[in-house]
Amino acid sequence: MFSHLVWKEWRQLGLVRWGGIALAAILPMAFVAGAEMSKRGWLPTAGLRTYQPHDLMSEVLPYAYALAVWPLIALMSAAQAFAGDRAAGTESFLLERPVPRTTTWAARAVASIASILVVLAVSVLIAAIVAWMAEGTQPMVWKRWMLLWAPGLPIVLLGWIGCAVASTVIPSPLGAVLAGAVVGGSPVLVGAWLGIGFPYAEVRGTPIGAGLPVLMLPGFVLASWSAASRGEPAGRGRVKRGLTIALAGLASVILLFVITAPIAVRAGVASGTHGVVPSPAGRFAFVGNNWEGRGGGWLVDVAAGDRRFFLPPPISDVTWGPDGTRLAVVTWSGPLGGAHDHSRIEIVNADRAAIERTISVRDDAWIADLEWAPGGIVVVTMLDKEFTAAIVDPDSGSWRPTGYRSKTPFGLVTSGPAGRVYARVPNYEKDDKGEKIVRSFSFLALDLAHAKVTSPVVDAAGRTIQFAGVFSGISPSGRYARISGRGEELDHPGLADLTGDGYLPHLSGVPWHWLEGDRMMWRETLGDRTRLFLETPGQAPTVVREWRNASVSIALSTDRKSVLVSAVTFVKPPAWAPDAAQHDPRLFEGEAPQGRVPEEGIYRLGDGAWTALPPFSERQYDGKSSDWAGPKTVAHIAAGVVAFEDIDAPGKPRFVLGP
Amino acid sequence: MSEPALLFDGVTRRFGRTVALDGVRLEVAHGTVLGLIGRNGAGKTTALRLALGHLWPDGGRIRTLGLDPVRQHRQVTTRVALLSEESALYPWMTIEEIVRFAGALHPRWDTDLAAKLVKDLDLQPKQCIKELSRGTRAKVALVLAVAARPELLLLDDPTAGLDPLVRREVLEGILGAVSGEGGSVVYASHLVHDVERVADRVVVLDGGAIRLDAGLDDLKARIRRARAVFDQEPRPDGTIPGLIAAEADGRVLTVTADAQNGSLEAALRALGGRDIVIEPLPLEEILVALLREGRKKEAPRV
Repeated sequence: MFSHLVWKEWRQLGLVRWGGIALAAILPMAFVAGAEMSKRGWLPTAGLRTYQPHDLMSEVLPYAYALAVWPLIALMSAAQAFAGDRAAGTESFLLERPVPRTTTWAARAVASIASILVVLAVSVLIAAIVAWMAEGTQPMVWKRWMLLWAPGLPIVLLGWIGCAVASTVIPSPLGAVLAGAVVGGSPVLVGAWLGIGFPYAEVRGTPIGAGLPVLMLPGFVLASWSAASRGEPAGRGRVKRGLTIALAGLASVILLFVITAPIAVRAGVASGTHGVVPSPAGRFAFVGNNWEGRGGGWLVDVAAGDRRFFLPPPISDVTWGPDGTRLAVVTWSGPLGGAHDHSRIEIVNADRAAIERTISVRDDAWIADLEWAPGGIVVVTMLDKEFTAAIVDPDSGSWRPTGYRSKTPFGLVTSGPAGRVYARVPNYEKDDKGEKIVRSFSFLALDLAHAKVTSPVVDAAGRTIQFAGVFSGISPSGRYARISGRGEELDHPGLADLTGDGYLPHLSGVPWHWLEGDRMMWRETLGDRTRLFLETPGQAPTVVREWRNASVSIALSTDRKSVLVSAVTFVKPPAWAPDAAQHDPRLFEGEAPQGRVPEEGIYRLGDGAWTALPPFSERQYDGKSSDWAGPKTVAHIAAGVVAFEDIDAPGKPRFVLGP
Repeated sequence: MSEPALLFDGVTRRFGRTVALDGVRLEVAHGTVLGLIGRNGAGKTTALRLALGHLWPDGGRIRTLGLDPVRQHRQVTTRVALLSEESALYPWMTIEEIVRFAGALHPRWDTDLAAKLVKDLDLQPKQCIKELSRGTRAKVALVLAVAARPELLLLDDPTAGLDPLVRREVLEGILGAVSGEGGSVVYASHLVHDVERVADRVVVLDGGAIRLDAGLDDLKARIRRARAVFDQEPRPDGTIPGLIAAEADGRVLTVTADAQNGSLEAALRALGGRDIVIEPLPLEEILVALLREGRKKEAPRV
C-alpha cells in the first residue's frame, strides 16, 4: 500500500519537480543574460558594469540555487503534497478507503522530500558543469565550492516543515507556500529574539535561546501529522489541532528556555576562567567570570568555600566596601540572562547574602568606573560622551555630583594612604605620525566629604605630577609615586619622592607593586633568567629569588604584607617583555637564591620568609593560575575550576567551582 | 448477525450552528436496500458520511456492520463503500491506473470482478479520467466501489445528473453486485423514481429529522387516493380512517388515506359519497401527501 501511495504522490508532484529542474536549468543562462545586460547598461543595476563568468558561475550561482531555488521548491513540494488533494477535491478518495492516515501522511512526506532531493541533485549537477565550463584560468576549489551550498540545507528543512504545518491549516497550496515561509521562519525569529535578547543564557559561547527553537521543528512535524492523521477524517478540528500543537511547541520552547536559562546562565558563569576579588577583611570573596568581560559570579564564604549568592552577568565592576561586609556591583543584567539598557549599582550584603539596595543611575547614564572609599562610593558616569564623577551613599542610594565634567574619559584609582580615591585623567600628546597618544596621567584627589574633585597631585615644588601608566600610582604612605619620564625618557617611567625634589634613583622601567612600608616589588626577565626584586625607595634593590626559563607572576595580599609567587615553565616570552637593551645590567649581577620550576610560594615581607606551596600551574599558558582569596587563603584557578587552599594547611582544596 | 447492517441511535450532527441531523434513529437490516430520500440539504450526505466514519457524530450512537465507525474506521472502510455523485477521482490517472491503485488500498479487492465490471461497463482502461464524461466517471466510481466487495454500500445520489440509460445501467450494476449477493445498500437520492425502483424500504429525511420510515411495498399497498361525489359540498371529518389529505372541489372530494385503518370506501359512503373511485398512488405522490400533512402535524410513521 505504502509504495502505491508514494507512487501516487510522486506523480502528483511531477509538475513541481520538473518546474524546479527547469528553473535550475534556466538560472545560469538568466544570470549570464542579466550580467551581460547590466554590463551594457540595459538594466538599472547598482554599479554592476563588469563581471567575471568564473565568479558568477562558481560563487554566485550556488548561493542563488541554495537560497532561492531550493527553499522555493521545498515550500512548493510540501504544499502540493499536503494540500494538493484538498485543493483538487480528491482528498476524500483515500479517506473513504481503508488507508491509515498516518501512512498517507508518511507517503506524502517521502514523495515530497524525494522530489526536493531530485531538484537539489540536479541543480548541483548543473552548477558543477557550469562552474567547470567557466573555470578559465582560475582553478576550481571544489571543496570550498561544496560548502557554498551548505546554508541552503537548513533553509530547505525549515521551509519544508513550515509548509507541512501550513498546508494542514490552509487548503490552498499557494496560501500554504506563503504561510509555510512564515511558519518555517518562525524558529529563526524566535531564536534571534531569545539569542539576542538573552545572550548570557549560553552554553560554550552559544546562547541557548538561539538553539532551543530547533525543538519547534519536531513540534511542527507533530502538528502536521496530528492535523492530518488524527481526529475526524473530514477535517473538523484539524486547524485547531494543528495550531494548538504548533503553538504548544512554541510555548514549550519558551517554557523550556525559562526553565533552563537560569541554569545556563550559572553554567556559563561557571565555565571559562575566573578572577577572585577578596574582601578587605578576608571573610568573603567575589569569584567572577573573566571571559570576554561577561562578568557574573558568586559571593563566596572563604572559610567554607561555599557559594552564597549568585550575581548574574553582565557585571563590569565590583568593589568591596571598606569594612568588607558589603560589595558594590555594577551590572545591567536582566532576567533569564538578558540585559537592560543601562547599568545600575547593586549593594550586596555579604552577611545576609542578599541585595541590600539597587541604585539606579540618573539620566540613563552608563557607569564607567567606581571605587568604594570610606566616605562613600565614587562613581564615574558617562552620558553623551561626557564623563562626570559623583559620590553615592551606599546606605541611602543618594547621589552627590562633584560637578567635575570631562570630555576626556577618566577612571578612578584607589591609591596612597587610607584608600584615597583619585580621578586618573589622561594627558595626551601626538606621536611621530601625528596620532593622539596618552603621555601620562594626572591624579585628581576626590574630596568625598564635600563631593569635590580637587586639583591635580603636585610635588613639593608645586608641579603637577605626571603619573606613568595605570599601574603603581602612589605609595601606601603617599610619599612616592611612579611617574612618567621626561622628554626622551617618556618610555622609562621613574620613581619620584613627592615630598622632595625630582627623581629617585631606580634601575628598572618595569611597573612595580607597592608593599607595606612603601617597598616596591617587581620581577624582570633577562635571557633565561627571571628575578624577583624588592626595593625600598632610595636604596639599591635586592634580589628575592631567581628562576631560569620561568614565567613568574606575583600577587599582593590585601594587606600588602605578603606576595604570592608562581614560577612556571617558560614557553615563550610575553610580547611586552623588555629586551636586554632596556635592562640595567646591574640588576642581573651577583648571585641570588635559586627557585625551582615549577614553584609556588608565599614571600612574607616582615621576616622575608618563603613558604612553599604545592605548585598548581606547571607551565606557561596551561590555563592555571593562583591568586589571593583571603589573608591566609589562596585561590587556584583553572578553566571552570576555582579551589581555595589555606596556606597554613596546604593540600586541602575547597572547591568553589568544579572540578 | 444480531446487529443490523446500519444503526443510528439518536444521532445528532451539527455544522457550526446548523443542525444537519437531529436525533435520528434508523436501522437498516442486512440484505436490504434502503432508500434515503430528501431534498438537497436534508441531511442525506451527512448521514452516509457518518455511517462511514468520515464524519463524527456530536451525539448518539452509530454502528456500521456492528462496528463503531469512529473507533474502527479502518475496519468500517474495509467493509463499506461509498459511491457519491461527485466521486473524487484523480483526473491525471487512467482508468487502468486508478483501478490498480484502488485495488492496492483494499484488502478485499476482487481483481477479477473489477476487470469484469470494466469490460461490462464498456470502459477503456487506457483512457484518462479527466477525459471522461460524467456518466463514464460514474461507471468508474461504480467499479471502484463494487470491486471492493462491500458488505454495505452507501450510495449518495450516484446517478444524479446522468441520462436515464446510464442511470439504469449503473443502478443495475450496483444491485447486481452488492444487493444480489446479500449485501446491504443505503441509497440516498432526491430522485424518487430511482429509489422506488430498487428500495425495499424508504426513509424520508427533512430538516435533519426522519419524516417517514416505511417498507416500500407496504406503503404503496396501504396509501390510496379516493375520489367521491357528494350532493352537497363535502366536509371531511375524523370519520375517515387514516386520513392523510383531503381536498374538496365543489361537490367532489379527493382524499388520500392510509387504508390500513379501515375501509376508505365504506367511510366515504357513510359520509354520503357516491361514484367512488379508489386508486393506488406512485411513491412520489405518497411522499408529497405524507410530507405535506406531516408538516402540519407530527412526522408520520406509517
